[in-house]
Amino acid sequence: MFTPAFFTTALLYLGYILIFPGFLFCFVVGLLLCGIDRKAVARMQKRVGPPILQPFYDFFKLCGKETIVPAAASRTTFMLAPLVGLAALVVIQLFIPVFNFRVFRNLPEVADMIVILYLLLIPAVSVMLGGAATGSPYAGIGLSREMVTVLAVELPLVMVLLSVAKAVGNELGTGLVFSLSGVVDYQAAHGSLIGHVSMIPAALAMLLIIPGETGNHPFDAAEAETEICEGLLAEYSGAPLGIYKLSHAVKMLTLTSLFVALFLGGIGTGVEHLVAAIGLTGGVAAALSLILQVLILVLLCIVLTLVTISFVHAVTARLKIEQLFKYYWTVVTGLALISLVLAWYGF
Amino acid sequence: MDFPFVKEAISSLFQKSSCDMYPVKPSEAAPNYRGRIVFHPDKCINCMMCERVCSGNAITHTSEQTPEGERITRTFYLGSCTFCATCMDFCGHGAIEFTRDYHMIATKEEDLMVSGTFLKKPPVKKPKPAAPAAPKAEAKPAVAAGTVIKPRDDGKPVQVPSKCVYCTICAKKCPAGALTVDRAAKTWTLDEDSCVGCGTCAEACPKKAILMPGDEPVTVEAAAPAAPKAEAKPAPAAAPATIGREDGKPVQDPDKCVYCTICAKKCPAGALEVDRAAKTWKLDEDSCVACGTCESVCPKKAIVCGVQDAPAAPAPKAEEKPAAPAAAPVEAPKADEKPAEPLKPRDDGRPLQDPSKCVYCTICAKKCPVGALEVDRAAKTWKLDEDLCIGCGTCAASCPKQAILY
Amino acid sequence: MFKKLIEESTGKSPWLFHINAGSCNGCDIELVSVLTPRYDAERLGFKLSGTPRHADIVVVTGPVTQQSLNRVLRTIEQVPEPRCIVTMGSCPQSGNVFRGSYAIAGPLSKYVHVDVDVAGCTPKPEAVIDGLVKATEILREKRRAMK
Repeated sequence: MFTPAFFTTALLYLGYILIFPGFLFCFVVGLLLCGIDRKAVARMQKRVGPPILQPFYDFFKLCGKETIVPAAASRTTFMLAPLVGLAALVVIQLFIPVFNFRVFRNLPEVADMIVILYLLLIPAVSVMLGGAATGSPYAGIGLSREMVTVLAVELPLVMVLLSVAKAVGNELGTGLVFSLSGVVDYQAAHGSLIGHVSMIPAALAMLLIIPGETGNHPFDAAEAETEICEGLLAEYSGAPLGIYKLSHAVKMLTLTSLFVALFLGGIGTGVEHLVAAIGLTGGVAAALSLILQVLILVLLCIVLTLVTISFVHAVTARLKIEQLFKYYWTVVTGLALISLVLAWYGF
Repeated sequence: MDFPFVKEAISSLFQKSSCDMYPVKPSEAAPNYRGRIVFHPDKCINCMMCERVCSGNAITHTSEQTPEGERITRTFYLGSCTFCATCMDFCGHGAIEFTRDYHMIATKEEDLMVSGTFLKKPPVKKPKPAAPAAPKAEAKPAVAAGTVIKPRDDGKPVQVPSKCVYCTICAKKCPAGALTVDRAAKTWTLDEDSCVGCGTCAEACPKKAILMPGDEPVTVEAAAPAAPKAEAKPAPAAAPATIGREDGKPVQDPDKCVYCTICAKKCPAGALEVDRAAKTWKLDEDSCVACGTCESVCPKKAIVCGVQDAPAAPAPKAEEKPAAPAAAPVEAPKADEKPAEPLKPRDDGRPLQDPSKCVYCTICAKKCPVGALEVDRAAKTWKLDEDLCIGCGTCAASCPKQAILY
Repeated sequence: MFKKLIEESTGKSPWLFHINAGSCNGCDIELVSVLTPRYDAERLGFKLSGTPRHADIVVVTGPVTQQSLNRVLRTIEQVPEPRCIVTMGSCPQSGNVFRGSYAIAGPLSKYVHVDVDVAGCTPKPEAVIDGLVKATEILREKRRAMK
C-alpha cells in the first residue's frame, strides 16, 4: 500500500489542500478580495480607503492579540468552531473547478453541487456554535438572526442550483446534472450558461445571494456592529476572531468562484488551446494555462465582488431581519423560480 | 425599493476623494481657533482674575518668597481647559494668548501644562508720595485723635477710617473679591486669604483712604470733621477785593465748594485732598505744581489760582444747584459756546442723561459707586439723586451708548 | 519574522472602541467625524468596532460619572492586550467644568493608566488623528514588549 505512487498522490493532495486551491490560495485571494472590497466601498463613498492589504494587517494583528475566553463559555467549542468553519470553506474550494483544473478529476459523476450546498452551511453553523458557546446575550440575538439569514438565503440558492442543473441536464438529455465539473464541462463545450435566456434570472438571483451568504451589507443584520455589537462575534478576540474574519473573506472567494463555475464556466476554458497555439507543450504549457486560468478566475472574482458586495454595500443601508427574510423569499426566490420554470420548459 | 445613491456611488468611484489627507498634508486651524495657550509672565500682574473666571479651574499658581520678591508661577492645565478664552478676555494686560496650535497630544500630564514664572511687581505707586509725606503727616497731628496708621509690610492694603467714605469702589474693583464694604454699617473688611496685594483698591480709592506698602503712615483723625484744619493752610479767600495767592496755587472758596472731590481727582500731582464727609479741602503745598487744573475743572468755580479780581473771577456760566451752600451765588447768563449741541453737560460735575441715546440698560445705575442713579428699564426712566451724586463720572464712562453727558 | 509581521500589522490595524463616560456628545461627534470622507481615518487602518473584545484602542470621552465608572472600567478590562487607552477632550483628563461635582468620579487616570491624552474641548479632528496615531505607536511598542 505504501508505494512511492501512494506517497506522490498523498503529497499531491496535501498540496491541493494546503496550497492550491486549498488553504494558501483561499487565504491570499480571500483577503485580497476583502481588501479590494473595502477600498472600493471607500472610493464609492469618496474616501481614500484603507490599503488593499489592510485585511492582512488585521488578520496578523488579531493573531498577535490576547485571546480572552469568557468565563461562561465552553472552551473547546469556543476555540474549535472557527477552525471547523474555515476547514469547511477550504473543502468547498477543492470542489469548485477552476475552469479545466479540478482536484477530483477522476470523479466526474459526483453530485458535488449538493455537497457544496451542505458545506456552505457549516461556516454559518460554526459561527452560530462558537457564538452560542460564549453565552453572550448579543450572541443570542445574533444567533437567531444568523439562523434566519441562512434560512432566507438557502431557499433561493437551492432554486438557483436546481435551475442550473436542469438547464444543463436538458441540454445534455440526462435529466438533472448536479456535478459542478459536469456543468463546467458543458460550458467549456457549449459556451457560458449566462448566455442562456433561462439562466439570466438565476444569475441575478445568485448575485443577490452572494452578499447575503457572506453576511455583507445590507444583509448583515446578524453581525450588526452598531446595534448588537457584532452579534455572534461579540465575545471573540484574538486569533479565533482573526480566523472568523478570514472565513468571512474566504466565503467571498468561495461564492464568487461558485458563480464563475455556475454561469461563466466557458470563459477560461479556451486558454489551453491558446497556450498550445503559441507552441508550448508538456509541463510548461500545463503550468502556464493553469496560471492563466487562475488569473482569469481571480479577475472575475474581483469584478463580481465589486458588483455584488462593494457596490451594494455603498448604496444601501442595513435591512431589518424580517425585511431581509421577506426580500430573499420573494424577490430572489422569485427570480430563481422564473429561471427554473424557463429551464424546465427548455428555453 | 429605491437606491438614491447609485449614481453618486458610481461617479464618486472616478472622482478625486474629498479627503484632507491630514497627517500627510498638514492642516491649519481657522483664523480665530482657540488652541494651545501661551502665557506671557512678563505682562502678568497677578491680579488673579483669570483664576477666578476659569470655569474648569485650569489655572493655578504657586508662589515662593525669594530675596528679589515674591516669585509666582502661574500654570494653565490644558487638560482641564474648555478653551472658552474668558481668561484672555478678563486679562487686562494681555498676558494670556490663545494660539491656533491644536496639536495638544500628551502621554504625560506635564505635556499639557503651560506655565510661566515671574517676580511679582510691587503695586504702582502714586506720583505724590516722596516729598508730601512729612507735611501731610505734620499737618494732621494737631487734631489727631488716634494712632498712626502704617502701611502693612505684607503688601496688603490698610484702610484709613477717617478718610474712607465707604463708597465701595475698592470692593468692586478688587479682582480677588477680597474686600467687603458695607456702606450702611460703615465697615471695611479685608479677606486676608483672598487678597493678593495687587494694589488695585488703593489705586481705585477716590479718597486715598487705602494705604499700600510704600505709602506714608497716616494718623487717624477724630471722627468729627475738623474744619479748622482745612483752613489752616490754604488761606480762606474772604477778601473781597482780590482773591487768590501770589504763587499761583489754588485757593478754595468754601462758600461755593460742594466738596465734590473732582478737583482732587483731576489734580495731576495729587496735591489736593477733599473729604466729602468731613467737608474739608486740603492742599499739599509741596506737591502742588500750580498748574491750574483744579480751577478749570471745578464745576462750582470755587477754586481760584493766582491773584484775581473777586467779582470777575468766577466763571460766568456757573449755575448753582440748591444743594450747594450758595452763600454768594453769582448768577450769570449762560454762554452760547456750543450752540450745535442740544444738551450740554451740567456745570456742577453731575451727569446728565441724553434721552435720545439712552436705552435704559441700567448699567450706569449698577456701576454708580454711591447708588445715586435709578433706572427703570420698563418705565424708561432715569433719575439722579442730586444729594448722593459725587460727580465721579463712572456712569458716563460705563455707558455703552455714550448717553450720559459729563 | 512572524513576530515582526505581527508587530508591523499591529501598528497598521488599530481598531477603536469608543466609551461615552458622561460626555456632552461634542467629543463623540468629533470622533465620528474622524471617520467621515473628509478625514477618513480608515486610510490608516482605523475602524470603529462594535465590541471591546475586538478593540485595540479605547477612546474615552466624558468626565467619568459615578454611574459610568464601573462600566468604563469593566469595558476596558474586556479589551485584550495589547491595548491603549486614549482620553479625548478635557473631561476624562480632569473633569473639566464638572470637576468637583458629586456626580463625577474622574479623572480616568485615577483608575487606569491612560496612554494618550488629546486635549481640547472638543479637540479638532486633526488633533484626534494625531492622538490616535500616537496611540498606535504606543500599541506597537506594547506589542514588541509582549512575549
